[in-house]
Amino acid sequence: MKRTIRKFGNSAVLFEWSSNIKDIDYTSLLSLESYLLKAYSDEILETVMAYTSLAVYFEEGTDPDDFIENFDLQQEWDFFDDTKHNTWVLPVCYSKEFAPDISIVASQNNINEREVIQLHTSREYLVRFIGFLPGFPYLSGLDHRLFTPRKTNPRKLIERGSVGIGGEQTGIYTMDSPGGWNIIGRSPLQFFNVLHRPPSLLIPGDKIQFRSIDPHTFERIHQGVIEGTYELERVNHD
Amino acid sequence: MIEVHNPGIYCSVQDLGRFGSRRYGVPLSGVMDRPSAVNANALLGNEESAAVLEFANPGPKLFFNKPAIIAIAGATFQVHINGESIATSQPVLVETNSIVDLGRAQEGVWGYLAVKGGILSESVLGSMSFYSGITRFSRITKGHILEIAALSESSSQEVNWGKKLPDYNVNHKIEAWPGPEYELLSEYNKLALFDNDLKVTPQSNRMASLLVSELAILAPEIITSPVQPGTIQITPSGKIIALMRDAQTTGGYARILQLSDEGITNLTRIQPGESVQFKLN
Repeated sequence: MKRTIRKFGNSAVLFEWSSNIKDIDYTSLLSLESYLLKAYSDEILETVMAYTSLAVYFEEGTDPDDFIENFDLQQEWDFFDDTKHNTWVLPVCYSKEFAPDISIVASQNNINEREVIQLHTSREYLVRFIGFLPGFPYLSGLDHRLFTPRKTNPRKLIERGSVGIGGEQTGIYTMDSPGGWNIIGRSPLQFFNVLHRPPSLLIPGDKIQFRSIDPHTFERIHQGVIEGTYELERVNHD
Repeated sequence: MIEVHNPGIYCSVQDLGRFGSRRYGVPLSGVMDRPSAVNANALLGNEESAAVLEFANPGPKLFFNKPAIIAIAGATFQVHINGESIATSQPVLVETNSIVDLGRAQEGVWGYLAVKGGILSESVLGSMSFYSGITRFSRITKGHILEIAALSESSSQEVNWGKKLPDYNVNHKIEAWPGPEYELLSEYNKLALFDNDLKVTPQSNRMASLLVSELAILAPEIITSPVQPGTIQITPSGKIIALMRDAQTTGGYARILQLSDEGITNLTRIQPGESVQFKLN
């Protein structure tokens, strides 16, 4: 794996790991971020992670050229990631009223709708990073039997909580938004709340499983989320 | 308070931006033309991060129901108070029950109205900058009420009455560095990118400016990667997108250039229909 660091405008640098989505050493990138935030807490304003790269935005007064010159890219920092990561069980209702494109995903892959649900709920997904919308998780782990091209004409409005498949990716629209993914269900959860710390329910490094629920359970959980009484389920590995 | 009688074409509350939440997918936001907003606040003796009213051309019509000291900076708007034309290079005292009409701008795009003590709006994740889904309002509409700080005994003494705003310059040369995917461009495309006229289209807003080139510039899509204000992207169909303050935190188009802070400021001042040239730093 090749590691590079480059200047990214006058107050940022970009770390890039040159491997493709599937074989990148994800833990290494996560550890790098954790290490940088501790070792350079005075210099770093914030960081943004993506599939194979990490942007580091500096406080005023830090020169990216100096930073690059003094940074040892070959050092090991794997032991630095001590963030606690959760495995969340996310309820999703795959019923027709929430799943306008489930038949497209099924026919595209020569399977039936029941199999779409079965395949989508049988995997554990890794939250690689948050982007596109506040709280929107980019996930890896989608079964190749569910890969479905994005829609040629994106919808003007996809409702918050909608679960979609776009190409080789699956994700959750955490806010009302335009979008081109195929919608196969909806979760009653709230994924982003400005009053929570952090505001995003999911953070990079978390794992998630989808669990199929019926429309009645969707309504019940939705009410519980609004009233603040719903307790999210998590699987603890430790 | 200020009651918005007419918001003009686009008007919102902005400060210097929402830092620290980009990792959760929250855009930076903040004023488009930073030096102009900072200068307006400086004239009033405000903190440079005090929230201001940002507006596009044509500007809003505002009713003040209490006295205020204001400064107007940015694009060259024809400002009238109670129907009388006023000069805007210095602080202005607005009396109770006055109408401030920002009119049209001859030069530039974004105007700023700062109020002594700042505009008071709910702070969300450390910033008052409006952004859809984060703050309650995403833009100002007719009838919107803006709270402002009350003037105190010392307010007037803190204002730099004699001082003038620096000149507002529109510079069509936009300074940039190579972006992460610069090397994906062919030599021909690199030549096409610099010192050639790129037209700013009306499809430009707080999120991005869309530029068009007579010479086709092409680059493949990339794996979703970090982007920031000032990132210049190329779509597979050859559109040039200059990301602005409300840009997403990640994107999948090739990032061919990254503008300097000055480059971003200069680009925010270009009216649709005008052309710019990129200059490699």
